[in-house]
Amino acid sequence: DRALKKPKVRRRKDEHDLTNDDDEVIQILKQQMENAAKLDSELIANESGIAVNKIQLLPKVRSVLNKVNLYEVILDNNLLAEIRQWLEPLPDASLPSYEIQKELFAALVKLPINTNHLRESGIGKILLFYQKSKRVEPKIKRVADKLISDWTRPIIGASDNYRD
Amino acid sequence: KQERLQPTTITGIDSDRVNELYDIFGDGEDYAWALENEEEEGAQDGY
Repeated sequence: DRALKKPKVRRRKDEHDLTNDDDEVIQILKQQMENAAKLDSELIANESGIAVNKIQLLPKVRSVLNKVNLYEVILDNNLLAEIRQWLEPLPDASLPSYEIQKELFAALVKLPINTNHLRESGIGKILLFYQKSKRVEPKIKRVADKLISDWTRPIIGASDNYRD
Repeated sequence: KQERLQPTTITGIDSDRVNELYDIFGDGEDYAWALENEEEEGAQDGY
């Protein structure tokens, strides 16, 4: 399956250029995640098959999100935008599978997300949906509540270092 | 714009911060379409 193929990470001649390689890994993953989300949405919208593209790519997404040394690169490259896309309801209003929700919410808890990342990605908007929806598992809802309150605090607090 | 709800958590803070919150969390309308039929249809988990 195309979606599962590992990206070829080209080693540059310059051994110190590790950051660029990491950027490339994340950029490739972003593309794959976006494609998988679009394919799944189309399948549902056209009632033309079972939407399995995201779930097939999930192991790879998980393995990247579990790499602490990539957190900064993940956030710099706005992978949160694709995480948001994966959490969105499908065209028939169904939610992504619990597996996907669980994995992505776990990552959101761990990533050092700041207000700029939030503004850039719009991830807070989908979190608000998870907080409101009656179909979300209590475990996920609790995490959504916590993240929303964690993300709100620096904005309403005394600190204004979030400003540009 | 004016029909936005004012959650209790944001009363008493300046309008810049309120706007910032709307910037980040939206006004709840982004995915309202997917919440509309929740009452009738019940849980439907998927893909």
